[in-house]
Amino acid sequence: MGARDTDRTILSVDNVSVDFGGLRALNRCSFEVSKGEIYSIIGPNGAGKSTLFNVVSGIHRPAEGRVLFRGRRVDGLRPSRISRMGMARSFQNLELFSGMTALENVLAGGHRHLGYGFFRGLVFDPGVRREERRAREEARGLLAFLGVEGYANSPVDDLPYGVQKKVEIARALATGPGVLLLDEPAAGLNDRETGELMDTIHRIRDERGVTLLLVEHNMRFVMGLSDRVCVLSFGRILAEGGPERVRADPAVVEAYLGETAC
Amino acid sequence: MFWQLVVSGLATGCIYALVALGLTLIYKATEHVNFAQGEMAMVGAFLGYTLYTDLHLPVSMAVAGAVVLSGVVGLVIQFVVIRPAADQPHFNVFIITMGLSIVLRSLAGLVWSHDEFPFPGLFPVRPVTFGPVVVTPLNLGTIAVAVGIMAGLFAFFRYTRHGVAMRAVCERPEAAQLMGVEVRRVFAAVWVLSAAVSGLAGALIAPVLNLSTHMGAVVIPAFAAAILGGWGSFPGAIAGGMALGVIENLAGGYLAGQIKNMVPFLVVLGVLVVRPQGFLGEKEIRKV
Ligand SMILES: Nc1ncnc2c1ncn2[C@@H]1O[C@H](COP(=O)(O)OP(=O)(O)OP(=O)(O)O)[C@@H](O)[C@H]1O
Ligand SMILES: [Mg+2]
Repeated sequence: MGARDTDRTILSVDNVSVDFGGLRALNRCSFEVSKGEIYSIIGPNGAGKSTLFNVVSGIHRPAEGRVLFRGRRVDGLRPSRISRMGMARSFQNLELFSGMTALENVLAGGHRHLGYGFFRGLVFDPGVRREERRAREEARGLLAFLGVEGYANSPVDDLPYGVQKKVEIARALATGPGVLLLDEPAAGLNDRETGELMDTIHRIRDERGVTLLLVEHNMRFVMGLSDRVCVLSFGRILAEGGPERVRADPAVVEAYLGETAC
Repeated sequence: MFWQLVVSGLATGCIYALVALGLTLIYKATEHVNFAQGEMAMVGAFLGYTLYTDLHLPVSMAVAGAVVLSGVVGLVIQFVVIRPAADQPHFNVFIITMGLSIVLRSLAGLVWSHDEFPFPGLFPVRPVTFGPVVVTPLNLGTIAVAVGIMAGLFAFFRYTRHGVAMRAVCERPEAAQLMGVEVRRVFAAVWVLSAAVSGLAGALIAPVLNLSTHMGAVVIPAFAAAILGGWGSFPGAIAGGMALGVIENLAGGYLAGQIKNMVPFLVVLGVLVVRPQGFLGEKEIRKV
């Protein structure tokens, strides 16, 4: 993976720092993710992994440094803008729209593909109805892709945790992303569900051509899935490279893997 | 007598429901409490009156025009007054909307004076008889229009993605933003809808109350209705509005006419003691 190979780079984080009051949650972090890659970020609790996702998706502004997505600077842009450029994410603590069904959650994800305006929506003419039908089919298709189409009309709050996580991924895919950020997608899943999720992630990459950025604590998951792994500790990048290389890195073993090695 | 009181109470209740719906829309999306909701209804009714008397539009067109122009007024208010204060604490915004209600009343007084005007009804007031019940087409028409609009709004929220996106913003604005939803645009759209619905309420009640700048006081029973149904709940606002209209009318009819105006306060007081979350509201469960 040539770091200078800008044609293939879809996301680059360049010397980014994030401060919360006196706390430096990220300290001059730099890395690049290539198109079609599965890139994982690991590190102990509080290392700054979620903060990294937040800065990439536009929720936080970096104190210094730049974030480039498809060659354009996105740090400082509104999250909705970044989303519409083709970045989607899930959350460590589910952020589903409660009070809505699974299908409606996915429909909300497809909002940016609307072909009609707000006032035409109020009129609800045949063109609008046609488009709404198509959108619903697409949303159903996404739920099917994740294997949860049977829950389409259930309120999300009533669904089992594993299903909710899949609905959240379907909702993110509905935005039509080029890059998908998943924050601890395997947390709280049993072994079978984790295996299925690995499969799904491969399919998201292979069938949809989506680049994936993962944060995960489950080492079997990370090592089995990732093209490259980046290790974060106290806001700094300790090591980066293929899973085998990272696993063997002495600094990593000391800081992180030493206690939770698989 | 009983059924007459129920039907005319229901008609008034539909007006309360529409204004309460306007309050709830804004509250659900932005958590702002808009004290100027009643004045928005009043201005809407005056705009309809102008369309009718000065432009000589038929009543139905004048009412439709009032709804559209109210939406425009809502958009202007959102842009000029609310958006600049969006990051302020909610209490400050509440005070701003109180000021707004005074400003709207004064402006309306300047333009139309503080007199009372007879407002043309969409429907005739001459009573018709259904078996033992004597009702006015005006009451029935008011109920039909209000219920139709409410059903339309529900369909909009359910079957269009703009509606779905609005609900998403109400639930979790931050996550909605990450779906590419422009939250600020949704806030503006919510003010347009809310003002349009209130404008309709104003144009529907004006034939009954006579049009005047004091009509903004309708916000008080609307608040009571929303609290009765469950503050922040759409079905609650509607059911609460209708129930309040009927309760008020029955109390006025059977007890004493003067009690009518006190009913909203008594109802709010009663609800807050017996069932603080309202009848269709959800109990707030604090996660520890
Ligand atoms: N919004 C915030 N305000 C203040 N401090 C924050 C905020 N978000 C994160 N932090 C702090 O920044 C540091 C990094 O947090 P972050 O959530 O990024 O860690 P993480 O690597 O995702 O940890 P975990 O594995 O537990 O999810 C922590 O010390 C955290 O307390
Ligand atoms: Mg985290």
